[in-house]
Amino acid sequence: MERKQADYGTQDERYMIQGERYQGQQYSHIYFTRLHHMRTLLHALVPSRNPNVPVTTVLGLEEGKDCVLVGTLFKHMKLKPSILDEYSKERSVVPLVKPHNFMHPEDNLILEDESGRVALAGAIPPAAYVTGVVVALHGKETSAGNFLVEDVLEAGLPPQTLLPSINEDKYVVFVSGLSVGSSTFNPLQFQLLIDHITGHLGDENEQTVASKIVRVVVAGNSVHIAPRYLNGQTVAAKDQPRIAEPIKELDIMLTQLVASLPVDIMPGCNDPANFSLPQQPLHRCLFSGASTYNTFSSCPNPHEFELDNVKFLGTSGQNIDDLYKYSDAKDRLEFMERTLTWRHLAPTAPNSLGCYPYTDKDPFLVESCPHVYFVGNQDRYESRLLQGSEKQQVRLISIPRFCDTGIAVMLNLRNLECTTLSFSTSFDS
Amino acid sequence: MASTGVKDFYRQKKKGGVAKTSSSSKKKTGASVGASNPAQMPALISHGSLDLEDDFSEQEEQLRQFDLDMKFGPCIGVNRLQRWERASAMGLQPPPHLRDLLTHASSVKNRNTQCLWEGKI
Repeated sequence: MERKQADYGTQDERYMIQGERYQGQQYSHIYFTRLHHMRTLLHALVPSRNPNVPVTTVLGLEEGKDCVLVGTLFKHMKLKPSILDEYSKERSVVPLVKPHNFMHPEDNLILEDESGRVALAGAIPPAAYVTGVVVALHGKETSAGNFLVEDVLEAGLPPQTLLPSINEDKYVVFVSGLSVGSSTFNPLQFQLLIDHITGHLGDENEQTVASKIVRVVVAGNSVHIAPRYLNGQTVAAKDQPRIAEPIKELDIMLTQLVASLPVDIMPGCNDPANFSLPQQPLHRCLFSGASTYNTFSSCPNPHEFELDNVKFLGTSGQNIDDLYKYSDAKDRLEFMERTLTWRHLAPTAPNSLGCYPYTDKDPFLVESCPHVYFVGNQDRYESRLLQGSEKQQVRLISIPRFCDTGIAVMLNLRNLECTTLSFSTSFDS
Repeated sequence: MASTGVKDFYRQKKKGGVAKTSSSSKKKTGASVGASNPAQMPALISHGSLDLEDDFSEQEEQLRQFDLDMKFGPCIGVNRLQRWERASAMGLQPPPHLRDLLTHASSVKNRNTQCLWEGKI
């Protein structure tokens, strides 16, 4: 049985740090480029949303005058951990055990541009926003000195190229959170997944479906190394091989996969890659077996690629997890939708998410709308087809951790429909 | 090392009058107020170079105004040519003659390539 193929192209150049030279710069540059880029965009959109309203800077605000302001949001959060808390003289309310979510009813938003900052009030709920988002606000300055917001203008979904019409079923499998080497890792479960994808499982019907899988994307956290080896203390000689074991085991399993079809592997927060975003691709030397195949692709996080002209964009989860810590939404998909509406993959970078201090660009700006937007290492599988105001259609996918749920996601390129592949090794579930 | 430091500090001939009046006749901006102080102890200079008046030319003044212009973004952490190129790529239209200044001057004097806060913050 022949496996189907799809044309693949990456757009990952913007996430590679190879050419960057660090000169001791701080993060002011990345905020400047972000503001400039988004402001140019928003200035173009304002006339259609709020015609006849003047656009001004923070310093040019006049009391009582209706206007539009464009700037970067800063959310002042009481519970946000600060390094200075260690040095404060009085014991403050902040507990030693960090809460998962730092929101507080008294959080307030401030808008900032090059000329100054102004506190915000009115129709802009702090719970929905985070520091680093660039928005246009329609309102007026009050006598109290803050800006009363009437309406928020977000950039909205970026323009999207037309979804190509593919007349046969071709599937892409997404999996994340394999966590090889952790106590929750079940090797049989992973082996079942591999056997299913490579067509070694099931009868002819199952094999036919498996032959239509054109690519596997592993979205982060493929290995798990015991934290006691990573706390900075010297590792005893007898324990040193233990650090490499999970990676070797992953390599053996991946070799089975790459022998059969193309695989993209992305780093996650637990993988041996750099900490700050964009995470650079996992080094080929880690995969001595799998990297000998030309179907093996080590990719950065975030990862942007195209399959048969269907655009994909995704991360290993750090951007959405960080949004969850600093804002509120009804589900993870809503956070994902917000990042697309704000046209920025990781607005909390560099504020609370590690990021490279770029001087002349912000690679997380989303310029063209993907057809598929995936996020790895989430608690549950969730999926939705998002409709944009200009007929954009995005398939949002929240990929659950495989070690906890045994679920991988299968996407059909023809119609962007999503199903799950569920593997269990116990009879009673 | 010590002897050359002392020699630079105690100038053999007075520069005095001409340089001083030319800098004070310019409009006092934030940049020039700090720069026109000639008496700097070597001990207080950490790793920046000695800020002598005769380096404070008309061209340097223009470059400093470019550094301080908020429209082109923050100036610390990138050298002036990079900042100019970035401003140009963003469509902010930085003055073209500054680019010639920067590409010409960089081979003559090292200090013009870095922003005015370089080594001081």
